Amino acid sequence: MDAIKVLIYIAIFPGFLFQSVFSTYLEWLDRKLYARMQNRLGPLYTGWNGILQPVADILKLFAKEDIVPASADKFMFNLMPVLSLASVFAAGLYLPIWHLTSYNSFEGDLIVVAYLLAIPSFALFLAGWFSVSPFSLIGATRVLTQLFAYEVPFFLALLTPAVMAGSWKIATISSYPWTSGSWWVIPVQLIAFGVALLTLQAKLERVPFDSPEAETEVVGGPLTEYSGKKLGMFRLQKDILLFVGSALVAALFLGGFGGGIILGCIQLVLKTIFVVILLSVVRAACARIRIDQIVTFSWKYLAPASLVQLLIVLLIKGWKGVA
Amino acid sequence: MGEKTIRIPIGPQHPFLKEPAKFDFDISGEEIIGARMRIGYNHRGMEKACEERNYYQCLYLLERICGICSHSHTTCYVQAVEDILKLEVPKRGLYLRTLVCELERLHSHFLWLGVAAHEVGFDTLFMYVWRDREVVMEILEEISGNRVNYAINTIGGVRRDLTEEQRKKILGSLDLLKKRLDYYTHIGTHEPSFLARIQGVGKMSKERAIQMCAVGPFARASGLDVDVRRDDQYAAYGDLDFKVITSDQCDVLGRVIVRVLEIAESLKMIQQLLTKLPEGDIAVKKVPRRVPAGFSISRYEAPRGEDVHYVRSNGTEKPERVKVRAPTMANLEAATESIVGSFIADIPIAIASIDPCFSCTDRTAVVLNDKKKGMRITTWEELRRYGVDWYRKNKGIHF
Amino acid sequence: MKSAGSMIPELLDNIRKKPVTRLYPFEKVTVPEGFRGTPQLNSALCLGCQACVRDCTSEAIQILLKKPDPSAPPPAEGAKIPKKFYMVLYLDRCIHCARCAEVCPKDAITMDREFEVANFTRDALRLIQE
Repeated sequence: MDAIKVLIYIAIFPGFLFQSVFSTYLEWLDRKLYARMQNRLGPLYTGWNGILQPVADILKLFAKEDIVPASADKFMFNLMPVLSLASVFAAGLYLPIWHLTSYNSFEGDLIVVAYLLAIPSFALFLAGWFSVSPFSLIGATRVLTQLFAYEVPFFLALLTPAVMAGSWKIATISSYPWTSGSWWVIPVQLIAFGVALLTLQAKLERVPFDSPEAETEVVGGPLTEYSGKKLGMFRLQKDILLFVGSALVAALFLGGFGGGIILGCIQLVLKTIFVVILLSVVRAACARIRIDQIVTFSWKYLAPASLVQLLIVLLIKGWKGVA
Repeated sequence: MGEKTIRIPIGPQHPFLKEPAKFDFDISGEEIIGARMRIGYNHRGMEKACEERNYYQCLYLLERICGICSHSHTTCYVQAVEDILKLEVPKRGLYLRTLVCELERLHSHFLWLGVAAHEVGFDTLFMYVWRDREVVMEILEEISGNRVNYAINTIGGVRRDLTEEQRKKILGSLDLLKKRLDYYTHIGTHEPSFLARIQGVGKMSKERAIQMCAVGPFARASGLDVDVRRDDQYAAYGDLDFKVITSDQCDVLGRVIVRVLEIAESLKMIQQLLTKLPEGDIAVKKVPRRVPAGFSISRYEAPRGEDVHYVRSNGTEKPERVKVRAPTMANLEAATESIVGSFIADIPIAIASIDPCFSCTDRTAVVLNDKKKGMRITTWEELRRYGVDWYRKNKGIHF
Repeated sequence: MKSAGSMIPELLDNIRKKPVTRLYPFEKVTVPEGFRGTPQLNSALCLGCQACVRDCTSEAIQILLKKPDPSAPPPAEGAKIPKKFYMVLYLDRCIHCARCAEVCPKDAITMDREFEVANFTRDALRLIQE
């Protein structure tokens, strides 16, 4: 019986099926909002207002011919899409998807999720590196450079609410404002929330941090040589990363109030949508900045800002401990 | 990366190139240390085709050299033909011709601003600018009957008159354009991520710009004060009051500033043209079909820079030679050079900053000294000796 | 000089606005009065002077003499038979410059406002106008 339950968790909810469906919805929302902000219509014909367009795109890619370049390393080239997709799926299983908890939540799952979310970037780097083409090589180096730029501020920003709640468990951190009755922690962590949003944008490789896949510069970046199913997998991985990343940031920074399985799930969905909307606005409001500018920006502003936030949180904790 | 350099080919097909052209960049890490360009993928043989057609057929053929500055090429060509024919174009005809010139400059610069924003990944600005460009396109469609190839020029004037209604309509839409232009000027010079990408990119000093014979907004952004509209006045520009915009920025930011301020000048000029529009004929009534022997060179300030047409006639209905020097030809070498020292990420915006139009500019490339095909370079002396030998051998003539 | 996020007010403003995209094939668009569409020949006016043929940039026009109708009653002795002409227009070559309409001494050619003239075969684009 337990085995079936676990299977349902992994395959249907909150695993594979739910993540795939909800993340394609998020992509649709992002595209639609982006289009409306540019005074365009966005996807229109597939389903209600084009809501099935992301699904249609991925299905189309799965039906296309799959080409492996002759000079590419076959094993790594084939492995990378699967690896990156698997890692984001696994990360998604630890989200506090209902009742402010998850079925396999444990003390320290924040660190596991943070590390699982770093794997797609490495997979992307290796995918570009082993497909051996000038554009994918440049793209791959940019992915790695960008990883060094955003990863530290991202971890520092995630650390802030963890320190505040005194726990490494996402569910505990998420329910901390509710259980302790101290809702003021949400406005206090605003700097870290901003840093987390921007670094998440960098992790997702969206404007202004989409230098690794800049279409007008390096064609498709690390994915230049990919086609068919493997490109489809990377597309799906990107969507799910959007969902998992924004759900993680939403859970850590936006609080929550229990309320059972259904209400808890609705809360997380709404919070995630809110984060995705913010990310869309950032995407529409900026130009793509250069890779060296990303590194400078990240270490000059984002890292110090998250350190200052950490200091503020530690001071508050200390003051509360004394009082 | 260290000492090792890799060569990345960009083109003939690449997402940032709207038309085929080939660039080779030697890069060390992200920095570019060498650049070469090659054109010739889009040669259409229009100059040769002109020799087979009469003057009117050439007019519509030359209009199709460029999709954006179609009016520039026809104006430049009809000016040359009118010069050979010694035609006096009526004042109203010249004013209407100038009006379309300036409207074309408006839509070309708006288009460029959008493309530049797209090259640096600023798609929102791209969409906004192109949305507002539609206003200009609709005006052009209204007065000429087509959005792109206006076909408003004819030898000796223009083909269509402007009604009072259309005149009011154009004057009415200028306010909207002015308002939007102010907004884009603000965004173009204040949005930090956009500025970060265009400031200090594609440097071209004034001295180098003179040496490389740069023209148009590209040259003016390097502080070079050249503008055919003022220096060699044609059409109705003599009656207009306008400034030549220059900038000392010498980079892509300078080119943005020059183009945006030129849009403002164009709007002013359109207002002047419409308020001062004289009454009278729009074209010369009787234009001879046979053009007497002669030649003429005509210069024109196209949105992208100086456009030059050379027309030679031989007394028949067809021109003997038509030669076109599109502005991109003058700027391309300079733009390629300006990239050296920047980063890979700057390639699209640096090349796009001249507003390249490769099919306007394309030439055929003939490989000389190709031993395999038996081709070699012959000097004048060799050619003369060959001729002397040939006549001695075959005709028995001794020189 | 720099102001981060200076686009954001405009962006939020645009979410409320109606998109400018026109759903063209489903929603008809109108072209202005002077639009240069397909050339139309009024054969009653045509003299057969071939001026349009000579000036057509893309050699898209042929003006041909119409054979007299055999079933028609023979004209009276001595009466001049009016010559009738028809135009063959190769629409796949036409560049819609309206030079033919301009050069016609009798204004027999006019441009209509039709712009959806694309077709699947070249034969369908060969129009015979009488």
